[in-house]
Order: sequence, then structure tokens, then C-alpha cells
Amino acid sequence: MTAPGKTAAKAFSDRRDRLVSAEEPLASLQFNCGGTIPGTIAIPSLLESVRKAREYGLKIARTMQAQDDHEAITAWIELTPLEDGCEICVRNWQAMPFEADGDASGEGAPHAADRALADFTAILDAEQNIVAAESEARDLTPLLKSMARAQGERWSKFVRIEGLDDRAKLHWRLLDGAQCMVEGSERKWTIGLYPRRTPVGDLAGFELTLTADRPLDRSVRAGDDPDEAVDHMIARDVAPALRQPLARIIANAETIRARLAGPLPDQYSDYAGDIASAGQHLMALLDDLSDLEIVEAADFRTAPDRIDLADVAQRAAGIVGVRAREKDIALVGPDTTERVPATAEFRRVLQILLNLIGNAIRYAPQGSQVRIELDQGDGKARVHVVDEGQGIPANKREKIFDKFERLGRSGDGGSGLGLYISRKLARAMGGELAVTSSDGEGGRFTLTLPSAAGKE
Amino acid sequence: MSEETLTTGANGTVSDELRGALQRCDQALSSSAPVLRHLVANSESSLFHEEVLARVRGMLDHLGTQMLRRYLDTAGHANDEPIPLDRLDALVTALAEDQDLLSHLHALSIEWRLAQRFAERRSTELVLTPLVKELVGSDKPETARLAMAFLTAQARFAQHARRMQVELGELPGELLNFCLTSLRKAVDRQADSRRHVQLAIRSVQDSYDEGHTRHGVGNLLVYDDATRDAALDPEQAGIALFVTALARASGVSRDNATLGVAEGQAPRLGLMLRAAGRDRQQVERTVLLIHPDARLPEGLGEIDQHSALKLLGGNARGVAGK
Repeated sequence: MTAPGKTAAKAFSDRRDRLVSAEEPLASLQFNCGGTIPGTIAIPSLLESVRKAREYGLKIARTMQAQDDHEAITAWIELTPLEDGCEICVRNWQAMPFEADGDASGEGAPHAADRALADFTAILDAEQNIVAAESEARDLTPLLKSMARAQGERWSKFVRIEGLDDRAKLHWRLLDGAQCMVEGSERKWTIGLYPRRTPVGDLAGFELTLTADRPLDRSVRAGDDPDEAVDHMIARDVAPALRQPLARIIANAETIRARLAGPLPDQYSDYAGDIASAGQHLMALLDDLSDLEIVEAADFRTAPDRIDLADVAQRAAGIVGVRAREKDIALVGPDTTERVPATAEFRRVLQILLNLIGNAIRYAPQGSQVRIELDQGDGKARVHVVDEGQGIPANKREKIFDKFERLGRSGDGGSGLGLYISRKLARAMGGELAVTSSDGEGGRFTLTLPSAAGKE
Repeated sequence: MSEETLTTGANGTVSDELRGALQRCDQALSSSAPVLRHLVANSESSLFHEEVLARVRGMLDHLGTQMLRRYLDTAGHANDEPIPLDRLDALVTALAEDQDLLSHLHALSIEWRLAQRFAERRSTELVLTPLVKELVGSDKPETARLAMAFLTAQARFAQHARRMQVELGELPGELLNFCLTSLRKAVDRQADSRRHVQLAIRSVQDSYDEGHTRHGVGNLLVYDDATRDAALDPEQAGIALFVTALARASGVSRDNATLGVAEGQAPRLGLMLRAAGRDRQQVERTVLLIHPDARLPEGLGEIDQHSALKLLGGNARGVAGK
């Protein structure tokens, strides 16, 4: 074994930590680690110390440990910072072959946690070309796609590795632990390269992992791929699952409220009434949210048909008639002989009218009148819902169609979604929904739809 | 054959107690840094020995004093002009914020305490130990030169340690850089002061050489296999060189090796000695030499060198085998 000071090698690096010249055995190690001369220092622990010496402006002397494919190397390095680089003096060079066991433990077990955390895994051959790649991270989908198209090509082409320019020729030990950026992802990725060896110890290939610096921000999920059809999560999954239990809650609460199962103090009956109405509110909210999801989807279409607006208006009035009578509100429907043909989807128009009339009943004073009026002309069919409430101030007439806009109201069972959805529906059918009242009078909402008159 | 039994012992049930013991050691050590930080900031203490804490405080103070003195010198102040205490306090407070610096000073204090008690108990020399004496007289000029450099560095260390001080130029590069950065931040922003502090920092940088520190020279000295083996006997080498050799041979940092030699860490010490390739008798003898009352967990003798290295979490490559 070497005595102190016997082997000494000199080398110089420049201000970008590139090895400009090096004597043996350092030069060989640089090459074995995949580096060049001149070229960035390819021995990680040497590079780290050289950077420190240069940044601190201090002479650094310490042990360097490195490895190429066959040997573990320990050496004493003395670094003197210069004007534009660093003088490197290497002494006490000690090289010893890997122990078989030591190699396995070094490359295997300690990295288990890193591997488990990785968001991206790929199998590479011995030349670091892609054999297969796999990832569940949404922001890596573009990477997976481009890699799938380019199997057999070197993986490092597909990422940007920080601080390394001549990456195509770099030794894997240099890339292991480096940071990289991936097209389509805002996260910073740490590269892991784990050699796979044949039973006799030859290099068979690598396992490549990419581990993100932070988890993917969930809020970007919906927006990150606008071309993809919007997931109808609420309408498809949540609403059906909630509807049944909610219906049971409402039904049972109503049973208690109506004392169907036996006598009950008034107070408890009132509580049950509260439960029932809260349940109904939740049910309505569920409907609104499902609708919202649907009308906001890029692929939302209605199925227009030939309908009679007068008929729809009468049915709507019939449905909410009970509620109107409860509030002592007179609901004045259109004349039964009137006919206003329009091109629209029946159930969507009904939905809009129920929303408009429901609002009118909710916000109009007790004992007042809510009128549903029809007219047609200019190729349009119109239905107006008019109440005798406070009306809507001119500056709020557009705002009330905003999502979740409640105009400062609360506790009345509204979700702030009804008018927003209604207008979306109206527009999807080629129509419009607007406030048409003048100042000083009550609320007046007008639904305009394409007329079907004269097309019979 | 002996290889085989050793390996079996490493994976078998025998080493469970050892593993547990080491885990407890780890727990104790891992909580030491935050506790230390707390205690340095607050005067009440029971967990850490007052002497050790006092030494850490003294050393922090001395680091601040040295830096401000350099600064005042470059600013043209007279040599005997007192250092403004409020400045010193502010600088020392900033230094005490750094966990790495504190840990290093803590390790130095522990080392000094160990060395003192060991020298007293075994009636050995603190500085000119038998091994150092032998190395100084070596017929290899390089070894003799290094041994001489270590001897003087150790003498300086002992002198400063008695005064609860530490030389700025003895710090590892990273920590010195941190200290100088703190000095730059602590000095007010006037152009003149900035220029002076820059000059002071430059003078420290120019005179610094990590390879000439006590740690640097000691490390270089134990590169020789025979010297390292000899240094693994604390009675021959003294605590300072022993810790350096132990750190090199077991692949842990010198500060960590020092803490592992401290009281109550006998299992870790035993393991480090195993990782350094010492046999069972040597391990027991060495541990009892340093901690006469210590009891070693069973299984330590059976564990093989490689497993010991792995348990310590040190770098198994490059230090294993010879």
C-alpha cells in the first residue's frame, strides 16, 4: 500500500470547474467516470470540493472518494483556488477492487426508498437506451408519449439536465443524482440510475427513476390538458351515490315531521322539518353541481326539438304552484289557448323556468303576484317571469348570472348556481336569458329562444 | 471458516441487542444538536456537562473576537483597543445559530474532555504520545515532517482548549466560510467598513490551508496503513490521533467519531472499532481502556467488518478491506 505522499498528481480546473489538465492517475479516473479533458470534472466528490474551494476562496484539503466501474478509490486532495480556477494536487492514491457484497449494497438496498418515491421508472439497456418507461404522473404524460415513439434512443435526450451540456457522452455515475427538467412539467426532477448486473457482474442495463421535488399540485389537474374531455365526476360518480341516502334522510325526516309514526312534541317535529329542508337543499345542490359540471363541459350539447313555450310555462307553473300557495303568492300563468312554438329542448326549458319561477316565489313579498308572460316576433319566442319584489338594481343585472353569486343573500336554500346554469342552458340552445326589468319595478327575467313559428 | 461464522452472527439474532443498543445511541445523538442549541442560548442545563457547554461558548466567543480583531486591525485601530462588546455579542449570536458550527465545537469540547480524563487516568501524555514520538523520529522524512506538524498542531489545540478557545484557521473550510460570511453580514453597510471587512476576510482566506490544520495533518498521517493501525490504540496514539484514525478506518466523519467515543456511547465505539477491522479482544480492550465501566452488548465480537460499516451507515466502499 502507498506511503504518504508517494503518489502525487497535479491538475488544473478552470472557472467553470472543467478539468483543463490532469496527470495520471487522475486523468484515467476522469475518463473512466465518463469525463473528458478538457471537460467538466466527472468525479462527484472532487467536483464538490473544487466548487467549495473556488466559492469560499479557501485552500481545501480532504479525502476524496470515488469509483469507476471496477475500483473504489480513496485519495487525499489539496485544492488551491486560483484567479480563474483551481489547482488540484492529489496524493495517497489508494485503489481497491469492489467487494461483490459491497457493490450490491451500494447500488441496491439504500436506494429502496428513493425508488419507492419515484414518479417515473424506465428500464434502460447497457447503453442507456430506453427499453420501457412507465409513470402515473400526469405532467409526465408528454414525456412518456415521446419516449414511446423513440424506443431504443438514449433517455437523456428527452430531459434537460442542469449544468451538463455534453450529456450524450456522460457516464451514468455523473447523471445519478443530477437534477433535470422535463418538458410539460413544472416540477424539478432528481435522476436516479441503478445499474442492473448479470449474475457474473457485467452491466446488463439500468433502472432509471425520476423523483419530483414536490407532489403534483392537485388544482392544476383539470386545467393542465384542456383538450381532454372534462371528467363528469359529480354527475357520474358522486350524485348517484349521494342521492339515495339523501332521499332516505328527507323521507324519514318528513315522516317524523308529519308525526306519521306517532305523537311528538312540536319542537321535535320542527327539528325534523329542519332536517328535511336541509336534505332537500343538499339534494338541490347536488342537482345544481351535476348540471354545472355538464354545462361547463366543452362537449355540452342540447337536443333541440319543436316545443310549445306556453305548454312548458303551464307545466312549470303547475309544479311550483304548491310552493306559491304556501307563500300566499298568486301564480298567473299564460292563457291556456296561447301557443308559442320554439326550437329548444323541452326539459332544459322547463328547468330554466322552474329556476326563474322558483326564485320569484322565494324573493317576492307575501301576497304578491308572479306572472308568466309570453310573446313572439322577429323569429324569437320569449317567456317573461315577472314578480313584484324589490327588483334587481341595474348594476347587478349581469352579476347575478355569475357562478355562486348570491347578491349577499344566505340561508334561503339557494346555491348561487341556478341562474348561471340557466343562462348557460339558454345559450346552448341558441337563446338568451337576461334581466329586462326597468328601474323601480319588480324583477323581470326574459328567456329568449329561436322561434319555430311558420315551420309547420 | 471464521469468515462464515462472523457473517452468520451479523444476520442472526445475536446482533439484535447490538442493533437495539445502537439505535438508542443514535437516538441520543440525533437529539443532541437541537438540545445543544437550546442550552447554548439558555443558561440552565442538566443534560450536557457544564464544562462542555462553557467550552462551546468560550470557543464561539473566541471565534468572534478573532474576526473582529482582524477587522479592527485592517481598519487601522490600535492593537489594544477593546472590541465593542455589542458587536461581539451580535456576531457570536449569529455564529451560534449554525448547527454545523455548534456540532463541530461540541465535538472539540468532548474530545478535549475525553483526552484530559484519559491522560489523567492512564498517566499518558496529552500531546507527545508514544506513537507521535516514534513517528517524529521516523526514517521516512515525509512521515517525520507530518508527525512534527501534527505535534505542533496538537500542542496549539491543547493550549487553546485550556483557555476555552479555538483558532479560526483550524476550522474546516465550510465552517470558516460560514464564519467569514457572518462577519460580513455583521458589519455595518458603510462603504469604508465594507472595504475593511473585505480586506480582513481576504487576509484570513489567504493564510488558511485546510491541509495544515490539526485535522488535515492527522488525516494525512493515518493514510499510512501501519500508522493507522497503531493509532487505533488510544494508549499509544492519544485520543486525538485515535479519533482521526477511527474516523478514517470506519468511514464516519471525525466529529461523529468523537461523539461515538464519548461517555455512554460504548456500543458505537465498539462498532466503529469493528468497522475499522479490529478483532474481538482488541475491541474489548480498547473500549474498556476508554470507558472502564462500560458493558458491551453481546454480538459485537461476532459482527463482521462489512456489516459493522453498514450498521454505521458509513461509506462501505473505499475503506473496507486492505
